[in-house]
Amino acid sequence: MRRVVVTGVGIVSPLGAGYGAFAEAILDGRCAVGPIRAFDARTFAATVAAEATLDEREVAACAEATGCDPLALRIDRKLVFGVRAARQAIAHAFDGAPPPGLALSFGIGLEVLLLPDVASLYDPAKRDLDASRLPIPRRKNALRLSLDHVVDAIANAGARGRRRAYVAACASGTQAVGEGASWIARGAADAVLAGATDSMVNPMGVGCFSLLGALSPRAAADACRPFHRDRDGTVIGEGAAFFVLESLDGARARGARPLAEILGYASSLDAHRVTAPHPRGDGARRAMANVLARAGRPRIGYVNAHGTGTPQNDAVEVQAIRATVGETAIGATKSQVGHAMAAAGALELAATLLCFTHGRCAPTAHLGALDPACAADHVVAPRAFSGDAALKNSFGFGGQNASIVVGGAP
Amino acid sequence: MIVLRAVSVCAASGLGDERVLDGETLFCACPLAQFAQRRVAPAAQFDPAAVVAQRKSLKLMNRAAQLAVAAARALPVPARDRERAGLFLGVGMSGGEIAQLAGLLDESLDGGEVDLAKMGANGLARLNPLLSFHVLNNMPLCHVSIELGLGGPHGAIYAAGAEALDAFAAAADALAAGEAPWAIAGGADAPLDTVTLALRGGDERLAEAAALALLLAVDEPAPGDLEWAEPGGADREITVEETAARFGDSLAASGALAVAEAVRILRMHADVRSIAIRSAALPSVSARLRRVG
Repeated sequence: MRRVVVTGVGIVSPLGAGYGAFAEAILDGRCAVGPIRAFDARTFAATVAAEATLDEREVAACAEATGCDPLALRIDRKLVFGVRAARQAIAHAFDGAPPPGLALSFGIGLEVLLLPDVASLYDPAKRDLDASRLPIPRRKNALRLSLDHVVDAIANAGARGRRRAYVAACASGTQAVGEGASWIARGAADAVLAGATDSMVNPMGVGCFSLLGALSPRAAADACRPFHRDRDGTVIGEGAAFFVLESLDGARARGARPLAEILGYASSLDAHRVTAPHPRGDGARRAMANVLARAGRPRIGYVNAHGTGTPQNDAVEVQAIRATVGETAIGATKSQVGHAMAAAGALELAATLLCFTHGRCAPTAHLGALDPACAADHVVAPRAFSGDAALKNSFGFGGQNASIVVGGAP
Repeated sequence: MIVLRAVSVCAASGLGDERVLDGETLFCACPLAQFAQRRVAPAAQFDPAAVVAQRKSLKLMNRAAQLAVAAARALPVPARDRERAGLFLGVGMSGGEIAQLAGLLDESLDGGEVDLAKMGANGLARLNPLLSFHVLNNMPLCHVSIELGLGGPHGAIYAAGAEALDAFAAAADALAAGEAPWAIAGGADAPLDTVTLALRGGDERLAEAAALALLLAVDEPAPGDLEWAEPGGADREITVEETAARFGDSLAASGALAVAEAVRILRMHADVRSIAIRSAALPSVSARLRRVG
């Protein structure tokens, strides 16, 4: 098996774009949660989110490059975020053009219905789409922005080798990076652009997650407070993070300087319920136990938890971490950037890399009163990293789990 | 060696092993009134309630999940090592039944446009709170894992067409790496919803289908096993597109249905020792099945 290193990072996050800006904001303890600006959410049950900035010039450029209507790109924001982060990662890793075989391992969320389109075709009398106007001419932005166009747009940013898009709900990003690393380890690819993009900051996204009871109803900056005694839900975030992964030998041969090493990856299924995680976290424990074994059982100095701030997830996850990893520092980046859904794992993996690029552990913000059921060594403010490796967990709706172990640059 | 031991299909022609594909696909007029002129192939012959063990889960399942669970239940799945067994499925687009949104739209429209104030105040309350479970595109995989108790490595791979072939490749990789002793791979899709039909051209014959296969890592193959081999030369070649033309285009399931068709041919024709499965539209994914022994 070949060793796999990270040689480039690209980020579009609610705390800014670019790895440097993201790192500075995370280690400053800043929180991006605030009133929703993307649409008028004043009458919605959840009125706050962690929003990334959607640059109108990038919307126009993506519309030009993809043929998608700018309106669709403003409602379903993940394409624009993803293209920007992918380009950043490639530019970070390579001086010039990326290698022609750069593969793409990509995590993605679901398609969002474009409500203006649906509304314009809706026949209230029949309570269905107006038959006289169907089929509508095939265009790229009709009714929903096809995932095909998102995948194509990311690939066209410079990853023209083999590609695979994973949909694992909130575990998509971690899975995409882990699987991309596995391609390199097995020799199936020499370089991979791996990461994810997502946005649910739109009326249907915020509305449906509120209906599930997953979102905090509090309109406060600390609405997402993982491990807190009074936690009451998560906050929707958005963004994209991509990493260039290469074999260690390949990176050295071209004189690249690795930022970190991917030491292992494992995935598991809860096989319990689609509506709730396993009450003992059995699936999470399997993912963590397997990844630790594959990574050679390094001394884990930090775990970046899935840490959603929901009552169900956090206590189960802490118990699973303590049972498999032992006593270690734990941080939950969703407290600062919200829950970026399919992109969450990729953004939070970037926060995990701070252990090695900055020697610091990313914190859990807003952890004033700890839930005794979540008792552990929580990183309430950034602190020095101590250990051989760090672990990133992601657990998806439906019971898909993914864990990655990363270490310092060789 | 990675072998394919069994396949199952849930499609318009029935529910069962590869012999389901022996018969003619029954195309009919689309049951949705707006699309009555379209020829489609719904999997009308199976009763989801009869195949789902976790009855309470049925209301959480969209049509693709029901098809996937039905096909999974038709596979001779080993009782051993389920906690370590892998699951890799090609899955499709998010669901799009406008009927599920009618209540929201009735409460939210003002002059033909969505009024967000009305939507937040009244419209959202008209939605089924469980709607998210019907549109999350990883759900077919999750329901199969729950129904069969599969707890190992996984991959729900977004598939607009032949990418379901890649789900088999992902499963074979996991088996070869020793991450699971056996795995289910395949694809499931139900593209007969309002939004998908509205977006796709009238000449396409769309079909509901799920096709799954049982793959194992073995030292010695059992009688009837087929080797899941690296892509290469073969006695015969079939394409995903040919399969879709015959059985209807089941989008995310089409690559898996091509695998099931390859198994059917190999088991019917003793003179065919290997079959390559390719996609004209997606040359980067391909597969090869061959007899062993």
